[in-house]
Amino acid sequence: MAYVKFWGVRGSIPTPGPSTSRYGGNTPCVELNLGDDNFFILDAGSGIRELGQHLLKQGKPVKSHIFISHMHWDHIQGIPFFVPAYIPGNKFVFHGAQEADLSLEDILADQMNPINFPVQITEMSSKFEFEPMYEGEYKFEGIKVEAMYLNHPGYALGYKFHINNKTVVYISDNEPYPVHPEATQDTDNPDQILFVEDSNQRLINFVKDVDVLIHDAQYTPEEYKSKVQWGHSPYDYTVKIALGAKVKTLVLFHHDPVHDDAFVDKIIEAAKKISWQAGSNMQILGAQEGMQISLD
Amino acid sequence: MSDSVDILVIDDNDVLLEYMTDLLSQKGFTVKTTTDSMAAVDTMLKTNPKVVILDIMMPQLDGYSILRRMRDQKSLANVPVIIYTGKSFPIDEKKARNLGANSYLVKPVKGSVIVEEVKKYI
Repeated sequence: MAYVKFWGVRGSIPTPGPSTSRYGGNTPCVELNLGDDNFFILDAGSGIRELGQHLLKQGKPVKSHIFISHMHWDHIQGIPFFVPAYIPGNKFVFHGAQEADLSLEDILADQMNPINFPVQITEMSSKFEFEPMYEGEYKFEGIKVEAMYLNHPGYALGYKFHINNKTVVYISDNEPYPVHPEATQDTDNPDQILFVEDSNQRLINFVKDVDVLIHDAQYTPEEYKSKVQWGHSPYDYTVKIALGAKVKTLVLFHHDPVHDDAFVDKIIEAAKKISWQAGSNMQILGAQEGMQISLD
Repeated sequence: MSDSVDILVIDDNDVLLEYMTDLLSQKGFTVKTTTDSMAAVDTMLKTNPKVVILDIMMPQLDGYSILRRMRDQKSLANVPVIIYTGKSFPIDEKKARNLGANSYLVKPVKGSVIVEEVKKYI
């Protein structure tokens, strides 16, 4: 049985407490289970600690690929607390966009330097491999994986996974691309703005007809006005991209740390209203720790 | 060298490269373009450009990595690089400049801005 399971859905910083207990306070970690004990891990926020405890209970050797969307803390901070990574015989292959002057391994190791954490990454006893990714098409464990650059400070990748006859896209942190209707193809006039690709359309093409789209929806449209260039999306943009792409199930993800459960409920209802008014029957869900979506 | 050009433009968008060629050729510059980021440094070594216009977000190899490889090559270390990218976050420009970019332009700009920036170095 293939499925998507959410272990961490919160953006920026863990937010434990009664006001966030229903959707959950752990930072991003999603399990993409391929069936037959094979699974990929999408991001290693604090939610990966819970996933690690779950894997320990199963008592089996663990081999997996961990796709990091980008190297901001909330997406890597769970690695030091991921107990399966300390067990000899287990193996993890890290994928993600590396910096030109820092390898993937160096970036992940740095958050565990002796000043910040008592155990170094080299002391974790499982086998680690590091494979940098760029935008493009890849294949891991027989699964086709496509990567796309996102609009977020530094390097961030969105991933599309082709599992049997289903597609899942994971876009944890992404901001609407600026639009440039004034851009022209007229090179004879130097005072005209030059041609530029429509990146919002490019994103729609990337998520076209996918079965499950997990996408950043951190802000309300009102909040977004004061948070342009913070690298995140208002929910109305996310819904419009999903509607344009005829996505089947949209999962609103990366909840803002100041949004309590009741506020997230309102965002989801508002997102559903946009979809309903557009005449769509797209399923819209709010990402919630423990939530599982079947891919069978 | 007969293969030498004034400007080498590296971007993964063919359409943009056509417009850049038209724009810069009209101003009298010799221009070569490529979408092949992996071969970008080799192309520079063959064409000996006076200025490089470089995108950042490209498949296979990104503009930051190309810039770092240029600055590690003695013959390319001082070739002016104009970054022309959709990445508009301040941290991205800072990173490019730390790696040795001479100019940083966020797409899209007027054609005249590209031409004026090139003229700073030729």
